[in-house]
Amino acid sequence: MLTKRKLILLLSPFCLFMLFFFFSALAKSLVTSFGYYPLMGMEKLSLHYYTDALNNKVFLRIFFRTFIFALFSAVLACFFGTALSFLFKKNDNPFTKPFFKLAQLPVMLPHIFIVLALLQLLSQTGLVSSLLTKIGIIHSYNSFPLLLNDQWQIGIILTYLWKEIPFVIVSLILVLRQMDNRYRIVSENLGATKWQTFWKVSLPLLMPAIVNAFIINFSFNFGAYEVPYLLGNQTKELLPVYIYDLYVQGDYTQLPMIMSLNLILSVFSIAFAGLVIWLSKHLPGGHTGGI
Amino acid sequence: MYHLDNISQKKGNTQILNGINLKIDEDSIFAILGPSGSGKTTLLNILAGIDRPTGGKFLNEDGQVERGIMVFQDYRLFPHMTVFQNITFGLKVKKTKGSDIKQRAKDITETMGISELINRYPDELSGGQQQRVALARALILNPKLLLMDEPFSSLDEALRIEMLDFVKELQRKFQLTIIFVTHYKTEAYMLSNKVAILINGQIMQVDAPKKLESNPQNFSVAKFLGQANFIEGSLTNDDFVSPIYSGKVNVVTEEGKLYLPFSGQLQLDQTDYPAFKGKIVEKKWMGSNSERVSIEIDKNVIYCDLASESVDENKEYQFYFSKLPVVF
Amino acid sequence: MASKKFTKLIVYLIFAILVLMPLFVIFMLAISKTWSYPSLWPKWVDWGYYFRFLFTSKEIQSSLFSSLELAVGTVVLTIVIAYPTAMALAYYDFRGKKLLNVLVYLPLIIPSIALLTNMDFIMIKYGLNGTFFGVVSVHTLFCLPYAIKLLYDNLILWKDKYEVASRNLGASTLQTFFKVTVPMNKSGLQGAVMMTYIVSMTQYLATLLIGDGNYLTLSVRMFPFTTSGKYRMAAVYGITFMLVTLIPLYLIDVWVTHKGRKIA
Repeated sequence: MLTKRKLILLLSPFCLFMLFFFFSALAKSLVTSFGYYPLMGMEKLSLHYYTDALNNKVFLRIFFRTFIFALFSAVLACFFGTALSFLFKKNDNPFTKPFFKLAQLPVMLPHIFIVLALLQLLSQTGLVSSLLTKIGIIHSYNSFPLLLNDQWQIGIILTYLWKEIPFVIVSLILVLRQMDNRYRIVSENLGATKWQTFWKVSLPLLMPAIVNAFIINFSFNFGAYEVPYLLGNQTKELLPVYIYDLYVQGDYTQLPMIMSLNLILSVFSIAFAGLVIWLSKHLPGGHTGGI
Repeated sequence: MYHLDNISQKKGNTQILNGINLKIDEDSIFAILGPSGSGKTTLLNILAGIDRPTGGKFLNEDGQVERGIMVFQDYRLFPHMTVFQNITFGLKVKKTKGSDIKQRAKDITETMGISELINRYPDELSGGQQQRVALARALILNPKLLLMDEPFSSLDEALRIEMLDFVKELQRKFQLTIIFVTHYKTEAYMLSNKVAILINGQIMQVDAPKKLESNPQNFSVAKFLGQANFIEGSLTNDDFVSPIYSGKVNVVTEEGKLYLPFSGQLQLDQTDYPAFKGKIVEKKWMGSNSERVSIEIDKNVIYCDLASESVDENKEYQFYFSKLPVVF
Repeated sequence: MASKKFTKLIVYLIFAILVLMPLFVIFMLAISKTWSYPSLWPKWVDWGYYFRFLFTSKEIQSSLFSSLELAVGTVVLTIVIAYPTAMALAYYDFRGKKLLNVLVYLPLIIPSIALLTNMDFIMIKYGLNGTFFGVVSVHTLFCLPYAIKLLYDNLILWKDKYEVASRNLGASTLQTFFKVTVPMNKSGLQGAVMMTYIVSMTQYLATLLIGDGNYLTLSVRMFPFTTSGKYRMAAVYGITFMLVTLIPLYLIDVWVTHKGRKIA
């Protein structure tokens, strides 16, 4: 009994919610970004906040840095996550079950959790540094390399990997178990080697799930505030911190500019996600027939 | 000649296959018939080299291990590849020359009548088309041994008969050895004149269809083939005693069940083996030449296939056995 | 074969150490008094300290309550919105289905800093900033993609076959929903509830910004302690966080898998 009335009824909570919060927020910031902000007596529409932003060297440099950083971390997380999922996909050894249980742990804990542990472990006066001093490899904490709040965002990358590799594993492993065996058998029966089966059959079939996890991770790395705030380096600022700082300064005349930055970021992220999905569909093996 | 030499398979504590011995002629179709759960697919997986048996060997004429190419029950076309990519998969992984691949793909798609489908994806094909693609994917490798797992079970009646004939044709054309498993006896009988019955992981009987039906070797084969009355009774000195029939029988096993197949065993024409007197209570149409009649004997009802219009309802007749009946 | 198993053992051990090491460090931080360079082990360990603190500190209790209050609110709102959406996506073919699929994922794709500042802006306009409903709504926005996906993956397995049978046997829409749809798709619901709970519990900026500081949840309070170097206090909150996420989720998991055997 699939009636049109029922469909509308089913979809209305989601649509209303999105309309009321999500789209009205987008619309409001869109209008504001064009310079319409009556509260501050600004009512003239223009595009100059956009042109300003796109000519703002500081913004562009931070934007580019954050993009590279987010891409790098997400690729790394997907690579390790996929490799580990394949290694532990079969129930043929005693580690598979505890491995899967362990992988769920980081997904359940907040980022601040691992940040705190990293501070205690990897800061210059941390446990690793203590250990190295004890066994005489370094003489004092000054000679321990700066791994947190460093120029290369190592601390942030480690935090994201700790959270995201398990996330990739958790998203892949169920898909992998469902589909892999069926097609692996066919492929090997038709004469393919294990490597050929992996590259030509298993990996392409898993691609949509990997791409999904990649986009979620990338977008998070690109736009999340808390970890760059805690472990970032002030001379190599990342976008979320840059925008948040502007926003909480409380200068209302700045709002149209911030909103234009927000929209640039949003459009960019959506376009990037679209590009990744498009690429994954149009490269060989992109059609998966709904698996 | 392919030899299945004492093949056994054990998973955990369950014995799935128990000492399978078979000889299968080359250039022929061989059917393995059995109920679900009898170990058919396990056996086929061993012949395909997908599983390794816990005991025994599968060898070809030269005493070599040979891997059969499998056509799966659910076809298992790779969903991310086009028909062309699916068909050429086996050649590609063997690094066959590109021009060779094209030529062979062209030949096989023509043979299979799927030339116009090569750029489609599996989810854009009908069940029958998918089966043709699955067959093409296997046959392009020029296998000597083709394995088919319940090949026709998901096709509708008309298509099934068409595909049965087509597979026979392919067998002749490519001089293949085809081993297929099924739980439909009509499928097995139509495709092959040598059928092995696999029940509970054991080969119970290997025979031509007609022999199987007329002379099942034991109760479980007879039970599986169905189309028979089993009459409970007891045995005293080779004589069978039951409410329907008491007298001389041919004792095969001692379970005390009289085996009366619906067709071939009971008749109205007189023989040396009188059976019983019974009243016809119902007649069912079974095609233009025969009908299935229900015979009531002393409040028990049994079934029997007779020529059309040979009896009338509500009349009593004397029945005879065509040969001495079997008791399992 | 043996070497492959050995490789797996090594990889597994490294993975286990990398996952568990931070948990262990935080556990030790929470029960130790002085643990600083260059000592490898805390000078002073007090096993009871954590629990005494948990039961006496008003602060930690109120943040525990804030966390749970928001998480429960978010779970309810998310499921109420996500379930019908997932059903529509799984059962119906309609124009704009693809668009809706993209829409569902948008809150995860748009950079959260952009989304949150935009949301804060509109919440202020609605007068919802600092309110329970405001914070829960923003949490819900981030939970919906996961919840809809998990419910959808489960619902698509059977589509509406059994609902049709139930309606045909005379059950009402609501009876069908509660007696057929929900029990048959329990694992999807379980996944959605668990994920929503986790996502809500782990939110930081959303809670802080939209909550105007009215909702100092466990993860929010860990921040100032961490930045000001009070690692021990941060760890105490961290451990509490683990207690109220891992234990209930583990129990739900055990309970559902135990009960679920009957269906599978």
